[in-house]
Amino acid sequence: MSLWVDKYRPTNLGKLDYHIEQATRLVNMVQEGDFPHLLVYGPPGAGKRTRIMGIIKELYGSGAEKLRMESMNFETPSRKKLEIMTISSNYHIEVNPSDVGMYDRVVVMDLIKTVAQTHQLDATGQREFKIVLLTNVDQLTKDAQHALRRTMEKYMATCRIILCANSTSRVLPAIRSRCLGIRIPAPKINEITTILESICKREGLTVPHELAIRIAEASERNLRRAILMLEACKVQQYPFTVNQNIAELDWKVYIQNTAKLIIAEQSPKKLLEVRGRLYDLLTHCIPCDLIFKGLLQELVKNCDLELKTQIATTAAEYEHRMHHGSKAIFHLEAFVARFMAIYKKFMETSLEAFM
Amino acid sequence: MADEFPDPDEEFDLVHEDEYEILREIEGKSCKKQLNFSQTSEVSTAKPTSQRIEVAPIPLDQSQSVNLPTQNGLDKPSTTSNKRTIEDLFGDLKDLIGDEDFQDVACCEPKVKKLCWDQEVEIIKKIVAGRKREADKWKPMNVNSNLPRDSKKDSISMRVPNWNFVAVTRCSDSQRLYIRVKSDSKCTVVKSRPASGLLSVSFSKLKAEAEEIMVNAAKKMSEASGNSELIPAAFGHELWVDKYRPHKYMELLSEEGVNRTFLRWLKLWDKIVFHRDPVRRRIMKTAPKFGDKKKSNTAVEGLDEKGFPVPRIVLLSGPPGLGKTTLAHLAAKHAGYNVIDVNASSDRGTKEFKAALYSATQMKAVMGKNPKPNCLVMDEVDGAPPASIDILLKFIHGKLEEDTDQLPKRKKKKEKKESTGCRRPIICICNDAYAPSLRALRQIALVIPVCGVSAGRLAGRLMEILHRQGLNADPSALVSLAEQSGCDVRACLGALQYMGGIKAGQKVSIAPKDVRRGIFDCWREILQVPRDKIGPMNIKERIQRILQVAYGGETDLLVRGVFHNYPEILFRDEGMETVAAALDWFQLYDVLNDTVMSQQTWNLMPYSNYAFVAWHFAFAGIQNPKLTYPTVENEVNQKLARTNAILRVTRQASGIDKMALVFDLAPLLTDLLTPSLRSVSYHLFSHAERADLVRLVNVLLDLGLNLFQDKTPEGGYVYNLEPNLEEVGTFPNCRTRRSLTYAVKQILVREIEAARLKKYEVVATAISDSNIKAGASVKPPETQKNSDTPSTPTVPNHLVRLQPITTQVTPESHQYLDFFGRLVVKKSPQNQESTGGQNNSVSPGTRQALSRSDVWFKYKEGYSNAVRRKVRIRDLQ
Repeated sequence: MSLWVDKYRPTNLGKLDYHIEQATRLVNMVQEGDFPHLLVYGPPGAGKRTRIMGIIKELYGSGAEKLRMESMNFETPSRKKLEIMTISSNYHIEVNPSDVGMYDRVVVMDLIKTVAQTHQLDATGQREFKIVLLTNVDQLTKDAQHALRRTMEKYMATCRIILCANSTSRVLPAIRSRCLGIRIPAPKINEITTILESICKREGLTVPHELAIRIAEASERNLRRAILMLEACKVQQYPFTVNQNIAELDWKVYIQNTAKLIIAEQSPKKLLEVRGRLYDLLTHCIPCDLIFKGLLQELVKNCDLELKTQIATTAAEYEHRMHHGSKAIFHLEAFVARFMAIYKKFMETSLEAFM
Repeated sequence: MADEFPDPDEEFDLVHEDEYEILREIEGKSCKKQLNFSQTSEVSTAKPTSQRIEVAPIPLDQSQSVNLPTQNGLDKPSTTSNKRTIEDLFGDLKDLIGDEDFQDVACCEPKVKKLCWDQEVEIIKKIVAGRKREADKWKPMNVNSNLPRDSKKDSISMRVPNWNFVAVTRCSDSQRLYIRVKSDSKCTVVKSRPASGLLSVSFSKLKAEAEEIMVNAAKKMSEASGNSELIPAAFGHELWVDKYRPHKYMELLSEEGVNRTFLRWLKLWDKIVFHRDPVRRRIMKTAPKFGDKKKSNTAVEGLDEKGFPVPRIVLLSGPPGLGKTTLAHLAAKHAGYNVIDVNASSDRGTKEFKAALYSATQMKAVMGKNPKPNCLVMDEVDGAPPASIDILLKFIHGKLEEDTDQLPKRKKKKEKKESTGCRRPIICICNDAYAPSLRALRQIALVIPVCGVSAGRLAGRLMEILHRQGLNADPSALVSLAEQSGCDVRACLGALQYMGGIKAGQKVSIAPKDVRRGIFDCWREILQVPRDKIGPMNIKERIQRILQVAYGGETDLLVRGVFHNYPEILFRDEGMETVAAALDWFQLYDVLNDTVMSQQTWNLMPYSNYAFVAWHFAFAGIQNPKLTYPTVENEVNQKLARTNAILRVTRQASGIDKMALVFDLAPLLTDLLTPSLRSVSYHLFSHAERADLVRLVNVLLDLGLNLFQDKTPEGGYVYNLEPNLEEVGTFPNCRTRRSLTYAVKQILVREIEAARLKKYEVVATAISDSNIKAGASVKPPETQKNSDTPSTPTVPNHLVRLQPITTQVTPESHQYLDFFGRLVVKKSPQNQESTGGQNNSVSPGTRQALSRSDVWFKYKEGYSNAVRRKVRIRDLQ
């Protein structure tokens, strides 16, 4: 626990720095006794997992803090062996079913069954249910989600499911309605700033307020990223200065550079170069919708309003198609080519008008 | 083997000597041949002509008739038709399977032209010319007797002696139309050429004579050719393919180079099979001249010390319908073998295969007029099971052991004695020489690829056949038929026979040959505008072609190839709109494909093929595109798998979510891991630096990372993270990063190791602590006793780090005497002192207790940390 992110992570709901009102409600809900399935969602770095762990601790006490990592084995009907890593305590088990890709349905079904079919031996003083924590639910396949919704009701007596997702848009309505949705919004800039400052204080460092704000802004209200950036800044140069260089994220810079390439020249040759860069991004496990988003954000900066709407529409359309297909590179390249075509035409017409 | 062919062999040699002679004649005639002429003449006198008939097909027999010798005499002086007469003569003679005139020919030939072995091209030319004459025999009337109608055609002389084979074009074909003279009956045409008006015998007489001979010949043919027992009456029901199968070497359609390479290889077996020594003769004659030609060189000199040809097996490969089987059979027969055919229709399991091998190569026909040695032709060998091919390979090299129980003992011994391998030529025929099952065979075999016949030549043959069948056809149609079928002789004949059944003039559509095209050809088809002779094809035709390609299968690979290659071939920059539109088709294809695959809605499948049409019109250029195989996708997949593996390992070690790793931690990792440390020794680090180092070590341990030494290609050493999470976070040319120096990394590695050990120790002690707490209440006295050990009093015995405890050895018990019987005074005080110094803290009481306790540690020479303990059964009960 030597990275600041882990070191200064609040361990229970009472210690949270922001969304305090929500935290108290969560505490109340837990103490109430009855406890529904939860669907915790919010942007990355907002503190979803911190809160979930807080809830679990609130439920079971410090016994839930002793975590162990195990790998569980499953077998698909087609006899393919699956291995998935789980993090569990005596009271809960955390798993990311999307690790096994298209076989996530098997994991979801088997895991919940095995967990739910074992009852707590001495229910006295303990909760009579265990918790299954599924992360990245929005990446689950439709099959897995359908499998989930039946088991959720069936094993209500012995287990509660906490789902953790970035957005609910790809969670089936059937599942959404079975869960209590808890939205964790991203922290505000000033909240991040105070947290950064308090960390520095506890570390015995002084951080200029302006730098803290800059970091908070650079992190895009992602607290995890902000703290990591702060630590990176500290490692790079300790007596902080206001104008200190904040480490940027490579993948973002790379997407931006790609967008610049596209703006600079529109030709098949450039398209080939861009393709190489897109492949690069994909091999680094950057999700393709993020690439779309990054490209769009960067590209529209150079367009006027009319063009902006047109390109945004195109991007939306192409991204939608991408989710229906399987080869992201086709769709990304198609979008780039379409943008090039639109942009080129626009430039030519405006040039003509100018002349 | 020698005993197997005693006399008959020699006899056989003699019988066929003339054939070899002719072959040699063809190959190159030189004066040196005189050596053999004695033999030939001997043969010719000794042997009845009936022997020859079997080898010599129809036209020969006719020329056996009276007029030939006279003709020879006539031709030379007359020279009306210039040089060609001699060649003509020679050509005839070849087919005649030489009678008495060899000396004649040999004498006159050097004057004409001295062909040598090294001039392979010329030999081939010669044979080709001979073949042409062969064809000419079928249309003799042009000059002598007729065709006043086609004056135009007359003007183009067909009798130019230095005709080139390539020059046989469609227009010359059209001259050969026999249709005009059809009324003369197809049979008579055959032999009327010799009757060139110079003969004393009248034409009608000759004709009658010839007809008679024809009938005889046909009878003899049907008797002689063992494998095709055809009754002339059944001709009508016979397939043309079989009916007009070449019966002579000269009639072969396949390329002459191929034929010759094959025949030469077959001839190399003479030494083994006929106990004739072709090597010496050949080398004597040919070796110096052969030096420049690489392939033939190996083939001729290619006899090993035992006399076997060096590639002991031959593999003919090529697409179907080119006459591979025909070539094999004909050449084998020509070389004097009895052909045994094993093809896909016969059972080719290992057992049957073995049996067939043995029966074919080690047995010999004893019945029949003249038993010949066998030659095994394995047709369609690429379909044989790999186990059978294994057996074949072993058999060739004589490594195959026969089933002992099946054979009598004597034979077994024999087998052992001569384990030289197969003693008969084996010819394998396959369509695809690169079939996986043939891999081993391909390495040891002489692979002869049989390539296609030219369309013109095939059309010529077709025309000839049609003529013999009494039909007429448009030569250009025949050429296009040949082209359409991909020069598949069999397919052409089949089509012709089918159409022949139908009345002429009907419109018949023939499907183009369904060939498996290479993937590159498919891509080329899509990415290049196809051209006719006139210009680019019309759009409809193009669409049809593209769809044809798209239906061919391997759609996914096709798409990948198109996607991979299109940016390279687009040189016009302005067409971004079309590119974008074409890329939309990629999207559509992907979506369709995915829908089909995920929902099994196969009825959507055909629509995706139209994407190829769209791409064709968007991308295709006139130039021949440079295409490359789409390897990028595989590389991407590999890299992706690697990244995923790194992420998985890190996640297992640290428990951090994958996305958090990718987005936040990995990009910032290098910054987090590079504090400014001077590259000096650890002892010289300042306080802050040490703190940094400790933090660094802790972070690395938390994330489950380590540093590993790697060797760079330049030979230097670097430390890399393992798993290399940095790689996941960094992109090329994004920003400069600081990195630790090598020295600092070395220190870091050491510290990590130390910290890791410490961590384990802490864990171990923590576990032991809990154990003690648990066990304390159970047996307090024992723990009390054991915890007397000085360093870690609370730790139970098995976790104590072992200290050397020297039990007091009483010096009195060991009294050493030296050689003279005196007591040896031990020089041990220092030793005792030092051990005492070490064990100062251990009281003698403890030591005694320890030495009496159940656990002891005995120090032996070397190093051992073995701990033993007495365990009694009653303790366990």
